[in-house]
Amino acid sequence: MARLARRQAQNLRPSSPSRLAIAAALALAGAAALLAWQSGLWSRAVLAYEDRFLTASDTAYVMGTYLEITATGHGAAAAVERAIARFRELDVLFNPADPASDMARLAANPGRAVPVSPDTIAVLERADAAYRLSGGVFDLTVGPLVSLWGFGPQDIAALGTPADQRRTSPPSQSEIDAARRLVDWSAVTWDKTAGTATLARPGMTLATGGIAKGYALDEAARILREAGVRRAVIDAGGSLYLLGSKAGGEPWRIGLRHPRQDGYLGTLAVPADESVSTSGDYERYFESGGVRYHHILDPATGWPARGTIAVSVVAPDAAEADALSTALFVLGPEKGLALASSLPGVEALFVDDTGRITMTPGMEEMFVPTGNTAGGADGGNAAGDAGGQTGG
Amino acid sequence: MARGRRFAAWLSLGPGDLRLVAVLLLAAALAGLGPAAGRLLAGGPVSGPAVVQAFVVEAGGGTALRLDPHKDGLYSVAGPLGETLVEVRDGRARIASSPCPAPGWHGGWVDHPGERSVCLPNRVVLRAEGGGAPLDGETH
Repeated sequence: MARLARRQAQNLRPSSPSRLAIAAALALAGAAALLAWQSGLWSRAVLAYEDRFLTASDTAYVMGTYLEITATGHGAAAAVERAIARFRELDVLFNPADPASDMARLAANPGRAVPVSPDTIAVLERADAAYRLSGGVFDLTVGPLVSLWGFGPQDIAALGTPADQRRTSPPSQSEIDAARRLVDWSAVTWDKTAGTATLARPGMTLATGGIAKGYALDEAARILREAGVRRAVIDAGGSLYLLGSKAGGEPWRIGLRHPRQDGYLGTLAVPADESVSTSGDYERYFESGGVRYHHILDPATGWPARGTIAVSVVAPDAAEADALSTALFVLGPEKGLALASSLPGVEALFVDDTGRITMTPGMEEMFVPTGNTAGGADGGNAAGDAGGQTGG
Repeated sequence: MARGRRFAAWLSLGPGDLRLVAVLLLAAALAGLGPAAGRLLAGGPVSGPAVVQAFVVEAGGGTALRLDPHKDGLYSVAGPLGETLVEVRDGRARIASSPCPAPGWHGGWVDHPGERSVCLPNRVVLRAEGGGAPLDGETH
Protein backbone atom coordinates (compact mmCIF):
# COMPACT_ATOMS: atom_id res chain seq x y z
CA MET A 1 0.00 0.00 0.00
CA ALA A 2 2.84 2.36 0.80
CA ARG A 3 4.39 1.64 -2.62
CA LEU A 4 1.12 2.46 -4.32
CA ALA A 5 0.89 5.68 -2.38
CA ARG A 6 4.37 6.67 -3.44
CA ARG A 7 3.59 5.97 -7.07
CA GLN A 8 0.41 8.00 -6.73
CA ALA A 9 2.36 10.85 -5.30
CA GLN A 10 4.90 10.51 -8.10
CA ASN A 11 2.15 10.63 -10.67
CA LEU A 12 0.81 13.73 -8.95
CA ARG A 13 -2.73 12.74 -9.88
CA PRO A 14 -5.45 14.21 -7.68
CA SER A 15 -8.28 11.85 -6.52
CA SER A 16 -11.34 11.97 -8.74
CA PRO A 17 -14.31 12.70 -6.46
CA SER A 18 -16.87 10.76 -8.47
CA ARG A 19 -14.80 7.56 -8.66
CA LEU A 20 -13.90 7.79 -5.01
CA ALA A 21 -17.54 8.24 -4.15
CA ILE A 22 -18.41 5.13 -6.14
CA ALA A 23 -15.70 3.09 -4.46
CA ALA A 24 -16.63 4.27 -0.98
CA ALA A 25 -20.30 3.70 -1.60
CA LEU A 26 -19.66 0.19 -2.85
CA ALA A 27 -17.47 -0.61 0.11
CA LEU A 28 -19.99 0.81 2.55
CA ALA A 29 -22.85 -1.01 0.93
CA GLY A 30 -20.92 -4.25 1.02
CA ALA A 31 -19.94 -3.78 4.63
CA ALA A 32 -23.46 -2.83 5.64
CA ALA A 33 -24.93 -5.87 3.93
CA LEU A 34 -22.36 -8.10 5.56
CA LEU A 35 -22.99 -6.56 8.97
CA ALA A 36 -26.73 -6.89 8.61
CA TRP A 37 -26.39 -10.55 7.74
CA GLN A 38 -23.89 -11.13 10.47
CA SER A 39 -25.84 -9.19 13.12
CA GLY A 40 -28.41 -11.96 13.28
CA LEU A 41 -25.53 -14.27 13.89
CA TRP A 42 -24.00 -11.80 16.32
CA SER A 43 -27.13 -11.77 18.43
CA ARG A 44 -27.00 -15.54 18.51
CA ALA A 45 -23.43 -15.29 19.72
CA VAL A 46 -24.59 -13.00 22.50
CA LEU A 47 -27.35 -15.44 23.40
CA ALA A 48 -24.92 -18.34 23.43
CA TYR A 49 -22.67 -16.36 25.75
CA GLU A 50 -25.60 -15.63 28.05
CA ASP A 51 -26.65 -19.26 28.09
CA ARG A 52 -23.17 -20.40 28.95
CA PHE A 53 -22.13 -17.76 31.46
CA LEU A 54 -25.24 -15.97 32.74
CA THR A 55 -27.56 -18.92 33.38
CA ALA A 56 -28.36 -20.16 36.87
CA SER A 57 -30.45 -23.09 37.97
CA ASP A 58 -31.67 -24.47 41.27
CA THR A 59 -34.23 -26.92 42.62
CA ALA A 60 -36.26 -27.32 45.80
CA TYR A 61 -38.88 -29.61 47.30
CA VAL A 62 -41.68 -27.20 48.15
CA MET A 63 -45.51 -27.03 48.03
CA GLY A 64 -45.53 -30.80 47.94
CA THR A 65 -43.72 -30.89 44.65
CA TYR A 66 -40.36 -30.64 42.91
CA LEU A 67 -39.55 -27.08 41.86
CA GLU A 68 -36.90 -26.30 39.28
CA ILE A 69 -35.97 -22.81 38.09
CA THR A 70 -33.53 -22.07 35.26
CA ALA A 71 -32.93 -18.39 34.51
CA THR A 72 -30.65 -16.40 32.17
CA GLY A 73 -29.55 -12.81 32.69
CA HIS A 74 -27.32 -10.70 34.89
CA GLY A 75 -28.00 -11.51 38.54
CA ALA A 76 -29.85 -14.69 37.61
CA ALA A 77 -28.37 -16.79 40.42
CA ALA A 78 -29.49 -14.43 43.18
CA ALA A 79 -32.89 -13.97 41.53
CA VAL A 80 -33.43 -17.74 41.36
CA GLU A 81 -32.73 -18.05 45.09
CA ARG A 82 -35.17 -15.23 45.89
CA ALA A 83 -37.83 -16.87 43.74
CA ILE A 84 -37.39 -20.18 45.56
CA ALA A 85 -37.56 -18.38 48.89
CA ARG A 86 -40.85 -16.81 47.81
CA PHE A 87 -42.22 -20.26 47.01
CA ARG A 88 -41.29 -21.39 50.52
CA GLU A 89 -42.92 -18.31 52.03
CA LEU A 90 -46.17 -18.97 50.18
CA ASP A 91 -46.02 -22.67 51.04
CA VAL A 92 -46.08 -21.72 54.71
CA LEU A 93 -49.12 -19.47 54.19
CA PHE A 94 -51.22 -21.82 52.09
CA ASN A 95 -50.54 -25.29 53.50
CA PRO A 96 -53.54 -26.33 55.61
CA ALA A 97 -51.49 -29.13 57.19
CA ASP A 98 -49.25 -26.53 58.83
CA PRO A 99 -51.02 -25.17 61.94
CA ALA A 100 -49.24 -21.84 61.58
CA SER A 101 -50.53 -21.27 58.03
CA ASP A 102 -53.22 -18.73 57.20
CA MET A 103 -55.37 -21.58 55.89
CA ALA A 104 -55.10 -23.60 59.09
CA ARG A 105 -55.83 -20.58 61.26
CA LEU A 106 -58.91 -19.73 59.17
CA ALA A 107 -60.23 -23.28 59.61
CA ALA A 108 -59.48 -23.21 63.35
CA ASN A 109 -61.45 -19.98 63.89
CA PRO A 110 -64.83 -20.31 62.15
CA GLY A 111 -67.03 -17.25 62.27
CA ARG A 112 -64.15 -14.98 63.29
CA ALA A 113 -62.28 -12.34 61.30
CA VAL A 114 -58.75 -13.81 61.16
CA PRO A 115 -55.80 -11.58 60.27
CA VAL A 116 -54.20 -12.99 57.12
CA SER A 117 -51.40 -11.96 54.79
CA PRO A 118 -52.01 -9.87 51.67
CA ASP A 119 -51.05 -12.95 49.64
CA THR A 120 -53.96 -14.87 51.14
CA ILE A 121 -56.33 -12.02 50.29
CA ALA A 122 -54.91 -12.01 46.75
CA VAL A 123 -55.49 -15.75 46.38
CA LEU A 124 -59.05 -15.42 47.67
CA GLU A 125 -59.70 -12.71 45.10
CA ARG A 126 -58.26 -14.84 42.29
CA ALA A 127 -60.26 -17.83 43.48
CA ASP A 128 -63.41 -15.73 43.51
CA ALA A 129 -62.81 -14.68 39.91
CA ALA A 130 -62.29 -18.32 38.93
CA TYR A 131 -65.44 -19.35 40.82
CA ARG A 132 -67.55 -16.88 38.89
CA LEU A 133 -65.88 -17.57 35.56
CA SER A 134 -66.46 -21.31 35.92
CA GLY A 135 -70.04 -21.09 37.15
CA GLY A 136 -69.07 -22.34 40.60
CA VAL A 137 -67.08 -25.34 39.39
CA PHE A 138 -63.82 -23.97 40.83
CA ASP A 139 -64.47 -23.75 44.55
CA LEU A 140 -61.79 -23.51 47.20
CA THR A 141 -64.22 -24.68 49.89
CA VAL A 142 -64.01 -28.33 48.66
CA GLY A 143 -61.40 -28.83 51.42
CA PRO A 144 -63.56 -31.19 53.53
CA LEU A 145 -64.36 -33.32 50.46
CA VAL A 146 -60.71 -33.50 49.42
CA SER A 147 -59.72 -34.60 52.93
CA LEU A 148 -62.54 -37.15 53.03
CA TRP A 149 -61.30 -38.72 49.81
CA GLY A 150 -57.81 -38.89 51.27
CA PHE A 151 -56.25 -36.45 48.84
CA GLY A 152 -55.59 -33.71 51.36
CA PRO A 153 -52.07 -32.46 51.91
CA GLN A 154 -50.22 -34.53 54.43
CA ASP A 155 -46.73 -35.04 55.67
CA ILE A 156 -44.64 -37.11 53.33
CA ALA A 157 -43.29 -38.75 56.47
CA ALA A 158 -46.79 -40.00 57.29
CA LEU A 159 -47.04 -42.04 54.10
CA GLY A 160 -47.09 -45.75 54.89
CA THR A 161 -47.66 -45.14 58.62
CA PRO A 162 -50.94 -45.36 60.58
CA ALA A 163 -51.26 -41.60 60.06
CA ASP A 164 -51.48 -42.14 56.28
CA GLN A 165 -54.64 -40.43 55.02
CA ARG A 166 -54.83 -42.23 51.71
CA ARG A 167 -57.87 -44.36 51.02
CA THR A 168 -58.24 -47.67 49.29
CA SER A 169 -62.02 -47.46 48.84
CA PRO A 170 -64.53 -44.64 48.32
CA PRO A 171 -66.23 -42.95 51.29
CA SER A 172 -69.93 -43.66 51.84
CA GLN A 173 -72.56 -41.45 50.21
CA SER A 174 -73.67 -40.13 53.61
CA GLU A 175 -70.07 -39.14 54.42
CA ILE A 176 -69.88 -37.40 51.06
CA ASP A 177 -73.18 -35.62 51.66
CA ALA A 178 -72.01 -34.41 55.07
CA ALA A 179 -68.79 -33.04 53.56
CA ARG A 180 -70.69 -31.41 50.71
CA ARG A 181 -72.72 -29.37 53.18
CA LEU A 182 -69.49 -27.57 54.08
CA VAL A 183 -68.79 -26.67 50.43
CA ASP A 184 -70.05 -23.10 50.19
CA TRP A 185 -68.00 -20.31 48.64
CA SER A 186 -70.55 -17.71 49.76
CA ALA A 187 -69.56 -18.52 53.33
CA VAL A 188 -66.05 -17.18 52.70
CA THR A 189 -65.61 -13.45 53.20
CA TRP A 190 -62.64 -11.14 53.44
CA ASP A 191 -61.79 -7.53 54.09
CA LYS A 192 -58.85 -6.35 52.04
CA THR A 193 -58.41 -3.10 53.95
CA ALA A 194 -58.55 -4.74 57.35
CA GLY A 195 -56.46 -7.66 56.13
CA THR A 196 -58.81 -10.29 57.53
CA ALA A 197 -60.78 -13.25 56.22
CA THR A 198 -63.51 -15.47 57.63
CA LEU A 199 -64.85 -18.98 57.12
CA ALA A 200 -68.42 -18.72 58.38
CA ARG A 201 -69.03 -22.33 59.48
CA PRO A 202 -67.17 -24.83 61.65
CA GLY A 203 -65.61 -27.66 59.68
CA MET A 204 -64.99 -25.56 56.59
CA THR A 205 -61.51 -25.74 55.10
CA LEU A 206 -59.98 -24.28 51.96
CA ALA A 207 -58.19 -26.53 49.47
CA THR A 208 -55.60 -24.29 47.86
CA GLY A 209 -53.99 -27.00 45.73
CA GLY A 210 -55.77 -25.82 42.60
CA ILE A 211 -54.39 -22.28 42.68
CA ALA A 212 -51.46 -21.96 45.11
CA LYS A 213 -48.84 -23.21 42.65
CA GLY A 214 -50.12 -20.85 39.97
CA TYR A 215 -50.01 -17.89 42.31
CA ALA A 216 -46.49 -18.80 43.39
CA LEU A 217 -45.41 -19.14 39.75
CA ASP A 218 -46.65 -15.62 39.01
CA GLU A 219 -44.77 -14.32 42.05
CA ALA A 220 -41.59 -16.10 41.05
CA ALA A 221 -41.86 -14.72 37.51
CA ARG A 222 -42.32 -11.21 38.89
CA ILE A 223 -39.20 -11.55 41.04
CA LEU A 224 -37.10 -12.83 38.15
CA ARG A 225 -38.36 -10.12 35.81
CA GLU A 226 -37.67 -7.35 38.31
CA ALA A 227 -34.15 -8.69 38.72
CA GLY A 228 -33.54 -8.29 34.99
CA VAL A 229 -33.75 -11.95 34.04
CA ARG A 230 -34.31 -12.15 30.28
CA ARG A 231 -35.58 -15.70 30.00
CA ALA A 232 -36.41 -18.45 32.42
CA VAL A 233 -38.27 -21.71 32.89
CA ILE A 234 -40.02 -22.08 36.24
CA ASP A 235 -41.25 -25.64 36.68
CA ALA A 236 -43.33 -26.45 39.76
CA GLY A 237 -44.02 -30.15 39.37
CA GLY A 238 -45.30 -29.86 35.81
CA SER A 239 -46.95 -26.45 36.17
CA LEU A 240 -44.77 -24.08 34.22
CA TYR A 241 -44.10 -20.41 33.70
CA LEU A 242 -42.04 -19.58 30.60
CA LEU A 243 -40.54 -16.14 31.02
CA GLY A 244 -39.30 -14.30 27.94
CA SER A 245 -38.34 -15.92 24.68
CA LYS A 246 -36.06 -18.81 24.18
CA ALA A 247 -32.63 -17.95 22.82
CA GLY A 248 -33.13 -17.31 19.14
CA GLY A 249 -36.74 -16.19 19.54
CA GLU A 250 -38.09 -19.70 18.98
CA PRO A 251 -41.08 -20.88 20.96
CA TRP A 252 -40.54 -22.97 24.07
CA ARG A 253 -40.92 -26.70 23.42
CA ILE A 254 -42.93 -28.34 26.15
CA GLY A 255 -43.63 -32.05 26.30
CA LEU A 256 -47.21 -33.01 27.15
CA ARG A 257 -47.12 -36.27 29.09
CA HIS A 258 -49.38 -39.00 27.85
CA PRO A 259 -52.03 -39.58 30.50
CA ARG A 260 -51.96 -43.36 30.21
CA GLN A 261 -48.57 -44.51 28.96
CA ASP A 262 -44.89 -43.63 28.94
CA GLY A 263 -43.74 -40.79 26.79
CA TYR A 264 -45.56 -37.81 25.39
CA LEU A 265 -48.93 -37.19 23.82
CA GLY A 266 -47.20 -34.45 21.88
CA THR A 267 -45.35 -31.19 22.34
CA LEU A 268 -46.55 -27.63 22.71
CA ALA A 269 -44.73 -24.77 20.96
CA VAL A 270 -45.43 -22.06 23.53
CA PRO A 271 -44.71 -18.36 22.93
CA ALA A 272 -43.01 -16.02 25.40
CA ASP A 273 -44.44 -15.18 28.83
CA GLU A 274 -47.02 -17.91 29.15
CA SER A 275 -47.95 -20.39 31.85
CA VAL A 276 -48.80 -24.04 31.18
CA SER A 277 -50.88 -26.00 33.67
CA THR A 278 -52.20 -29.56 33.44
CA SER A 279 -54.81 -31.39 35.46
CA GLY A 280 -54.98 -35.14 35.12
CA ASP A 281 -56.60 -38.14 36.71
CA TYR A 282 -53.28 -39.99 36.76
CA GLU A 283 -51.44 -37.94 39.35
CA ARG A 284 -53.22 -38.69 42.60
CA TYR A 285 -55.70 -41.54 42.70
CA PHE A 286 -56.54 -44.92 44.08
CA GLU A 287 -58.27 -47.82 42.44
CA SER A 288 -61.06 -49.82 43.97
CA GLY A 289 -63.20 -52.45 42.29
CA GLY A 290 -61.52 -51.69 38.99
CA VAL A 291 -62.55 -48.02 39.14
CA ARG A 292 -60.10 -45.12 39.41
CA TYR A 293 -60.96 -42.50 42.02
CA HIS A 294 -58.84 -39.41 41.42
CA HIS A 295 -58.30 -36.12 43.23
CA ILE A 296 -60.21 -33.68 40.97
CA LEU A 297 -63.60 -33.59 42.63
CA ASP A 298 -66.81 -32.18 41.22
CA PRO A 299 -68.18 -29.87 43.96
CA ALA A 300 -71.73 -30.49 42.72
CA THR A 301 -71.63 -34.26 43.30
CA GLY A 302 -68.79 -34.70 45.77
CA TRP A 303 -67.35 -37.45 43.54
CA PRO A 304 -64.34 -37.37 41.19
CA ALA A 305 -65.27 -35.66 37.93
CA ARG A 306 -65.88 -38.06 35.05
CA GLY A 307 -65.53 -37.77 31.30
CA THR A 308 -62.06 -36.26 31.15
CA ILE A 309 -58.65 -37.75 31.85
CA ALA A 310 -56.45 -34.69 31.24
CA VAL A 311 -56.66 -30.97 30.50
CA SER A 312 -53.77 -28.64 29.70
CA VAL A 313 -54.17 -24.87 29.74
CA VAL A 314 -51.89 -22.19 28.34
CA ALA A 315 -52.52 -18.65 29.61
CA PRO A 316 -50.38 -15.60 30.40
CA ASP A 317 -51.41 -15.68 34.07
CA ALA A 318 -50.29 -18.75 36.02
CA ALA A 319 -52.92 -18.52 38.77
CA GLU A 320 -55.60 -18.39 36.06
CA ALA A 321 -54.05 -21.32 34.17
CA ASP A 322 -53.86 -23.33 37.40
CA ALA A 323 -57.48 -22.67 38.42
CA LEU A 324 -58.76 -23.15 34.89
CA SER A 325 -57.08 -26.50 34.36
CA THR A 326 -59.03 -27.79 37.37
CA ALA A 327 -62.30 -26.09 36.38
CA LEU A 328 -62.12 -27.19 32.73
CA PHE A 329 -61.38 -30.76 33.81
CA VAL A 330 -64.58 -30.82 35.87
CA LEU A 331 -66.62 -29.08 33.16
CA GLY A 332 -65.55 -31.69 30.61
CA PRO A 333 -64.55 -31.35 26.97
CA GLU A 334 -67.76 -29.80 25.61
CA LYS A 335 -68.58 -27.17 28.22
CA GLY A 336 -64.91 -26.72 29.02
CA LEU A 337 -63.96 -26.09 25.41
CA ALA A 338 -66.77 -23.56 25.09
CA LEU A 339 -65.62 -21.70 28.20
CA ALA A 340 -61.94 -21.74 27.18
CA SER A 341 -62.78 -20.49 23.70
CA SER A 342 -64.61 -17.53 25.23
CA LEU A 343 -61.65 -16.42 27.36
CA PRO A 344 -59.14 -14.14 25.63
CA GLY A 345 -55.56 -15.36 25.80
CA VAL A 346 -56.54 -18.79 27.14
CA GLU A 347 -55.89 -21.98 25.17
CA ALA A 348 -56.84 -25.47 26.28
CA LEU A 349 -56.45 -29.10 25.25
CA PHE A 350 -58.73 -31.87 26.47
CA VAL A 351 -58.28 -35.63 26.51
CA ASP A 352 -61.61 -37.30 27.19
CA ASP A 353 -62.13 -40.72 28.72
CA THR A 354 -62.15 -42.37 25.29
CA GLY A 355 -58.75 -40.87 24.50
CA ARG A 356 -60.17 -38.36 22.06
CA ILE A 357 -58.24 -35.06 21.95
CA THR A 358 -59.98 -31.72 21.34
CA MET A 359 -58.59 -28.22 21.69
CA THR A 360 -59.12 -24.51 21.16
CA PRO A 361 -58.00 -23.09 17.78
CA GLY A 362 -55.01 -21.34 19.35
CA MET A 363 -53.89 -24.61 20.88
CA GLU A 364 -54.02 -26.23 17.41
CA GLU A 365 -51.24 -23.84 16.42
CA MET A 366 -49.12 -24.93 19.37
CA PHE A 367 -49.77 -28.67 19.62
CA VAL A 368 -47.63 -31.13 17.66
CA PRO A 369 -48.77 -34.71 18.19
CA THR A 370 -46.17 -37.39 18.83
CA GLY A 371 -45.41 -40.23 16.43
CA ASN A 372 -48.44 -42.13 15.25
CA THR A 373 -51.27 -40.01 16.69
CA ALA A 374 -53.53 -39.06 13.82
CA GLY A 375 -54.24 -35.43 13.06
CA GLY A 376 -57.84 -34.30 12.55
CA ALA A 377 -59.05 -31.56 10.28
CA ASP A 378 -62.22 -31.15 12.28
CA GLY A 379 -60.39 -30.24 15.43
CA GLY A 380 -60.48 -33.72 16.89
CA ASN A 381 -57.52 -36.07 17.01
CA ALA A 382 -57.38 -39.71 17.84
CA ALA A 383 -54.98 -40.22 20.68
CA GLY A 384 -53.80 -43.48 19.21
CA ASP A 385 -54.34 -46.97 20.50
CA ALA A 386 -54.23 -47.26 24.24
CA GLY A 387 -51.94 -50.22 23.78
CA GLY A 388 -49.67 -48.61 21.20
CA GLN A 389 -46.31 -47.06 21.86
CA THR A 390 -45.61 -43.43 21.08
CA GLY A 391 -42.87 -42.88 18.52
CA GLY A 392 -39.24 -42.31 19.42
CA MET B 1 -0.07 -6.86 -8.63
CA ALA B 2 0.33 -4.66 -11.67
CA ARG B 3 -3.37 -4.96 -12.41
CA GLY B 4 -4.10 -4.00 -8.85
CA ARG B 5 -1.99 -0.92 -9.14
CA ARG B 6 -3.67 -0.01 -12.41
CA PHE B 7 -7.09 -0.54 -10.85
CA ALA B 8 -6.24 1.64 -7.91
CA ALA B 9 -4.87 4.22 -10.26
CA TRP B 10 -8.03 4.07 -12.38
CA LEU B 11 -10.11 4.67 -9.27
CA SER B 12 -7.73 7.48 -8.43
CA LEU B 13 -7.56 6.36 -4.87
CA GLY B 14 -5.17 8.06 -2.55
CA PRO B 15 -3.68 6.43 0.56
CA GLY B 16 -6.37 7.97 2.76
CA ASP B 17 -9.06 6.49 0.54
CA LEU B 18 -7.51 3.07 0.66
CA ARG B 19 -7.29 3.24 4.42
CA LEU B 20 -10.99 4.07 4.57
CA VAL B 21 -11.84 1.07 2.43
CA ALA B 22 -9.53 -1.11 4.51
CA VAL B 23 -11.21 -0.01 7.73
CA LEU B 24 -14.64 -0.78 6.32
CA LEU B 25 -13.59 -4.22 5.16
CA LEU B 26 -11.93 -4.89 8.52
CA ALA B 27 -15.17 -3.99 10.29
CA ALA B 28 -17.06 -6.42 8.11
CA ALA B 29 -14.47 -9.11 8.81
CA LEU B 30 -14.77 -8.54 12.55
CA ALA B 31 -18.49 -8.98 12.18
CA GLY B 32 -17.73 -12.38 10.83
CA LEU B 33 -16.09 -13.32 14.11
CA GLY B 34 -19.45 -13.14 15.82
CA PRO B 35 -20.90 -16.36 14.50
CA ALA B 36 -17.61 -18.13 15.00
CA ALA B 37 -17.55 -17.04 18.61
CA GLY B 38 -21.16 -18.06 18.94
CA ARG B 39 -20.48 -21.55 17.67
CA LEU B 40 -17.56 -21.89 20.02
CA LEU B 41 -19.54 -20.78 23.06
CA ALA B 42 -22.59 -22.81 22.21
CA GLY B 43 -20.41 -25.87 22.16
CA GLY B 44 -21.69 -27.52 19.08
CA PRO B 45 -24.80 -27.84 16.94
CA VAL B 46 -28.22 -27.72 18.56
CA SER B 47 -30.14 -29.12 15.70
CA GLY B 48 -30.46 -32.76 14.86
CA PRO B 49 -32.10 -35.76 16.49
CA ALA B 50 -32.47 -35.80 20.27
CA VAL B 51 -29.94 -38.19 21.81
CA VAL B 52 -29.62 -39.08 25.46
CA GLN B 53 -26.02 -38.64 26.52
CA ALA B 54 -26.41 -39.54 30.17
CA PHE B 55 -28.98 -40.41 32.81
CA VAL B 56 -28.44 -38.26 35.87
CA VAL B 57 -29.75 -39.41 39.23
CA GLU B 58 -30.05 -36.78 41.95
CA ALA B 59 -30.45 -37.81 45.55
CA GLY B 60 -30.12 -35.71 48.68
CA GLY B 61 -29.96 -32.51 46.65
CA GLY B 62 -26.84 -33.37 44.65
CA THR B 63 -25.91 -35.52 41.69
CA ALA B 64 -25.47 -39.02 43.00
CA LEU B 65 -24.99 -40.93 39.75
CA ARG B 66 -24.21 -40.24 36.14
CA LEU B 67 -25.20 -43.28 34.08
CA ASP B 68 -24.18 -44.35 30.61
CA PRO B 69 -27.31 -45.05 28.52
CA HIS B 70 -25.43 -47.85 26.79
CA LYS B 71 -24.67 -49.75 29.98
CA ASP B 72 -27.65 -51.80 31.11
CA GLY B 73 -27.85 -52.27 34.86
CA LEU B 74 -29.49 -51.66 38.19
CA TYR B 75 -28.15 -48.78 40.26
CA SER B 76 -28.90 -47.89 43.86
CA VAL B 77 -29.20 -44.50 45.54
CA ALA B 78 -30.19 -43.70 49.11
CA GLY B 79 -32.83 -41.21 50.16
CA PRO B 80 -34.46 -40.25 53.46
CA LEU B 81 -36.95 -43.11 53.17
CA GLY B 82 -34.53 -45.74 51.96
CA GLU B 83 -33.11 -47.18 48.79
CA THR B 84 -34.25 -46.27 45.29
CA LEU B 85 -33.24 -48.53 42.42
CA VAL B 86 -32.75 -47.07 38.95
CA GLU B 87 -32.75 -49.38 35.96
CA VAL B 88 -31.02 -48.66 32.64
CA ARG B 89 -32.02 -50.88 29.74
CA ASP B 90 -31.79 -50.49 25.97
CA GLY B 91 -30.95 -46.80 26.17
CA ARG B 92 -33.84 -46.00 28.53
CA ALA B 93 -33.99 -45.58 32.28
CA ARG B 94 -36.64 -45.71 34.97
CA ILE B 95 -37.10 -45.76 38.71
CA ALA B 96 -37.49 -49.51 39.17
CA SER B 97 -38.31 -49.51 42.85
CA SER B 98 -38.46 -46.99 45.63
CA PRO B 99 -40.01 -46.46 49.03
CA CYS B 100 -42.29 -43.96 47.21
CA PRO B 101 -45.83 -45.19 47.60
CA ALA B 102 -47.47 -45.45 44.17
CA PRO B 103 -48.52 -43.33 42.46
CA GLY B 104 -46.21 -40.97 44.31
CA TRP B 105 -43.86 -40.68 41.41
CA HIS B 106 -43.91 -40.70 37.67
CA GLY B 107 -43.03 -44.28 37.00
CA GLY B 108 -42.22 -45.25 33.49
CA TRP B 109 -39.27 -45.11 31.18
CA VAL B 110 -37.31 -41.97 30.49
CA ASP B 111 -35.62 -41.86 27.10
CA HIS B 112 -35.80 -38.32 25.79
CA PRO B 113 -33.43 -35.45 26.70
CA GLY B 114 -35.18 -33.22 29.23
CA GLU B 115 -37.52 -35.99 30.42
CA ARG B 116 -37.48 -36.84 34.09
CA SER B 117 -39.01 -39.06 36.70
CA VAL B 118 -39.27 -37.94 40.32
CA CYS B 119 -39.78 -39.86 43.55
CA LEU B 120 -40.91 -37.01 45.77
CA PRO B 121 -41.00 -38.73 49.15
CA ASN B 122 -37.51 -40.18 48.78
CA ARG B 123 -36.12 -37.02 47.15
CA VAL B 124 -34.81 -38.84 44.08
CA VAL B 125 -34.84 -37.35 40.58
CA LEU B 126 -33.95 -39.26 37.43
CA ARG B 127 -33.38 -37.13 34.34
CA ALA B 128 -32.15 -37.67 30.80
CA GLU B 129 -29.49 -35.28 29.55
CA GLY B 130 -28.59 -34.89 25.96
CA GLY B 131 -28.21 -32.79 22.87
CA GLY B 132 -30.26 -32.56 19.76
CA ALA B 133 -33.46 -30.62 20.24
CA PRO B 134 -34.27 -31.15 23.91
CA LEU B 135 -37.51 -30.11 25.44
CA ASP B 136 -37.53 -26.99 27.60
CA GLY B 137 -39.87 -28.67 30.06
CA GLU B 138 -42.79 -30.99 30.41
CA THR B 139 -46.25 -30.48 31.73
CA HIS B 140 -48.27 -33.09 33.56
